[in-house]
Amino acid sequence: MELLQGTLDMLTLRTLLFGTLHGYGIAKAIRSTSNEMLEIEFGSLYPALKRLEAKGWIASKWETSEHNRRAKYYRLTHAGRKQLTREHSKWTEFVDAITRVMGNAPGEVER
Amino acid sequence: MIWRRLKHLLPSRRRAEERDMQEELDALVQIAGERELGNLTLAAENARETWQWTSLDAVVADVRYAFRGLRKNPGFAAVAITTLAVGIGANTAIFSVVNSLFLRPLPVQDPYRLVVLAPRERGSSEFHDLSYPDYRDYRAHAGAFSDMLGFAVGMDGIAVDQGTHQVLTSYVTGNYFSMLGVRPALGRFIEPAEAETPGAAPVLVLGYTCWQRQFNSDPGVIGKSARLNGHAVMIVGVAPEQFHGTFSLAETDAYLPVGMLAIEDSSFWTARGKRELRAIARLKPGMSLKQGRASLQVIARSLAEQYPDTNKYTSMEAYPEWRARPQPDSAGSWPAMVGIFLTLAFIVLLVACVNLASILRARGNARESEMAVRSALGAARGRLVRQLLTENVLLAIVGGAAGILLSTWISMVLSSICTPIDLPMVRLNFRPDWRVFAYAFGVALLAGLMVGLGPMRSAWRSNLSIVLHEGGRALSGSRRRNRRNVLVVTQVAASMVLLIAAGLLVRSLEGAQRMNLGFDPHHVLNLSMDLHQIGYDESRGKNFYGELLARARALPGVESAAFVFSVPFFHDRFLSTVHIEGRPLSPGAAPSDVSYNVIDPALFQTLRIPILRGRGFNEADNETAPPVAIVSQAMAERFWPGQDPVGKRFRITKPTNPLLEVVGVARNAKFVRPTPEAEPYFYVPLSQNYTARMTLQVRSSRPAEALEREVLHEIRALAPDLPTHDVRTMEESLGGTMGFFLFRVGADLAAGLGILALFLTIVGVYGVSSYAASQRTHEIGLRMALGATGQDILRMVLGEGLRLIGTGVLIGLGIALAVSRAISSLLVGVSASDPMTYTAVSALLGGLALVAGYMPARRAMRVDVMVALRHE
Repeated sequence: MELLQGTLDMLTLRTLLFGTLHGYGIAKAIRSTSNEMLEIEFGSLYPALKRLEAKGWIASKWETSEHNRRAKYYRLTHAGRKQLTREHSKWTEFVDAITRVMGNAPGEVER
Repeated sequence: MIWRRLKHLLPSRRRAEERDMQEELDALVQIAGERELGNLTLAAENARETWQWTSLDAVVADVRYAFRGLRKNPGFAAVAITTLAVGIGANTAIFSVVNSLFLRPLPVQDPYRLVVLAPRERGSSEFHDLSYPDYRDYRAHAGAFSDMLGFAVGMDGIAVDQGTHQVLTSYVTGNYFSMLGVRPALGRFIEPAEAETPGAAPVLVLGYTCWQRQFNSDPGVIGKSARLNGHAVMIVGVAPEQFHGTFSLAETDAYLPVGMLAIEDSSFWTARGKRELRAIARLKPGMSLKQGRASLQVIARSLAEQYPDTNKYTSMEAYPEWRARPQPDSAGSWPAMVGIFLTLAFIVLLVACVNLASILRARGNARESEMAVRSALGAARGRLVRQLLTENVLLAIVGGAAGILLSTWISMVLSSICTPIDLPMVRLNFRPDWRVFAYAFGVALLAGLMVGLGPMRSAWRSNLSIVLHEGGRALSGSRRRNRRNVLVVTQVAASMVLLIAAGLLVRSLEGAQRMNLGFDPHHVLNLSMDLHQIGYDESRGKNFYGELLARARALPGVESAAFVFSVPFFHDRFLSTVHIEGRPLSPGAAPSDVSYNVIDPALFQTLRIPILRGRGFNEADNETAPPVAIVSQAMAERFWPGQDPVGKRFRITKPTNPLLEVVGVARNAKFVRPTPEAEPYFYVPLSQNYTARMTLQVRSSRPAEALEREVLHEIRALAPDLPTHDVRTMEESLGGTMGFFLFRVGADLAAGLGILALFLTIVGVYGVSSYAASQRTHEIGLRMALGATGQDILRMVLGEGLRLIGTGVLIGLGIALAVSRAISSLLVGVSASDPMTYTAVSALLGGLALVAGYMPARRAMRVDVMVALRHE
């Protein structure tokens, strides 16, 4: 399933809420959390990370992983947490609105 | 935030970022494997964008790339830059003329707060000057202004050591220099007490150029005495180099106290009818022009009540100084003039841009594959568009720089057009200032955008798979041809509009020159003089006139000679209100203004103006005889319609002045300006209206040079010191500023622009059709292989060209018809929809364009079928 336009930033911020992750780890986490439904292109994720970092919503640091591999790990900053709250409420409103319009699937509509 | 991005511009910082990113990506490849991560180059490229703040870095790279591109194609670069330089140069040259005449502020303190007072009699179309007492009242009571200066411009004779020269003078009020905030280059300026007190010591401040030319920049002139119109004056200072006075047409040679105007007639201080001053006021900070105007109008109304004799019908307007050049009357007309010529120049730019766009299109085809390859290698579409934009803007900037160089050359040529008038014209200073540069830059940028729009759009849309597969012939179908067609039609239509405007202006010049002027300008020599400049009083002056006339008439070959105040189409003239006897004005109606002339009785013979009724002036019309006048047909019809005007009487200036009796009616003659309809006009005899400033007109079939020498000899014999000026034949004089000069300048300028546009269009059409023919070689070969003859091909290619050019010509005709009314105010003797101009221009442009299209078509016809088919 392809991502809805503009949701990648939000998903990334949300994923980093649980702790620090490296770039590939974020992609994997989103994939597994969505039950393999959301396909994350690393080619799009990576520039998004740099963009979020430039905005000051996430910060990065070189660390060594549990398998003793060095990688750059990203974490949510205070500003990023606030941004996530904003995006979250916007998203819920959006989903509610769409749900209200779409209603039930056409087959279930009473005649 | 900004710093966070800005710091990425530091090279060391950038390198560190780059290294860090590479390490990060390498590390991830170690963890996940390359396949899992996809196109890492693209990811890195896109990530870099986030730290390229406003893409400054990319711009630098683009500019470098664009430069390399231009250097690799010198032919293309030369053609493109020349085309742009012509378009931008023409625009900038015209703008710099406009700039130096109208836009450049006076070199004084806070020039934009200066306002010119423009009083006008109700019913008159022209503004007049202010009397000194009126000026005092406005200055004292206009609350919106912090100060107000007055000045009067004169032509006077100045004698230092020996010899008298004619100079342009400004008689100024005491606050003149202090209000403008200028400082003397040398010595001091005129003190307030010197300027406006009767009997104060006469002092003189020299203009900078006059000081340089006539005094060799000698600092010793300060304190020297001189004679101005025979009166002793002392030179006290020199004005600064940049400051040319407040009379915008010419540089003032000498500044004098306004009180000197009262030396011969002390009523200057008190008489409200003696209107000699132009007033300029400085708005108080925070006051608007509207408030200033209102405060002046209040005073005008109260003066009208207090002094109904002189001020009853006077209303007051006010204009910003820069709009009231050279006269407040121009405030309404010059924006239109300027607008028309800037528009014409802009059409040249448009045509040039279209040419360049065609060239770029042709080049763009070659580059489509380059774009596709770059796009396939991961360059973002925005990046490609930006690259193209950079290339075009770079072209435009280089072309703009070349255009500025070209425009300085054009303006040098323009400024050398000498006006046929002996005024110390301001050396038209077309030196580009920031306004010119800003304008040129704007025009260049616009040109870059206009030219770049097409290729940019196709880059944006570029569909790489098609391009890559079809080897660069992606759009060779009808879409590309359509766009090419639009270019040709635009170009032809734009040139049509410009050429029609130029044609109308040229025809208008012819019309003005062919116009029946009502007098015979051939074989007449003019010599102007001002006896006032050597201090002659009335009785000496009258003797001199009589003596000189007698001597001039005695010269061999002289048919007739006469003195006249206003030479046709010259700037000196009288204008007065006219009050007809026995016909009091109905309340609320304003008296009419009529121009008139002071003449010697023989003028009607000299200029061959027939007297239709009554008689001409004669010896009996002297000081002691009742005052007389001769009116023109137009004046007779206006004031005495259906009656015999001979014997009727009228007054001028004031209803209390003595009555003038009409003794004759002269055929209409155009003295004021070359307009098609005759204006009312009348003549009064010199013997009853002594005037010190007159022009001698001599009619003789002998060559003018010999005659001129002999007349000047006679003048020198009578008054050795008397300067003469504007010595030229009447025919030359007709080309003067009030005559055909503006018509000629307009026609020359428009014709020059028209020829440029025509040339660019022909080159453009030729280029486009050559390219089109070469693009279609394959198709043509195929058609010929299928049995089409050379004639068929020629007909096909030419037919298409004919259709395009015809469309362009028709659209151009339509636009020209619709907009030509805008220039109808500049046209004389030709209508804005003159069929002859329209036909001639259509034939010229259509014909030349067809020829330009025919040559490539012929070449296409001769194509060898086998070569054409193999052409791939």
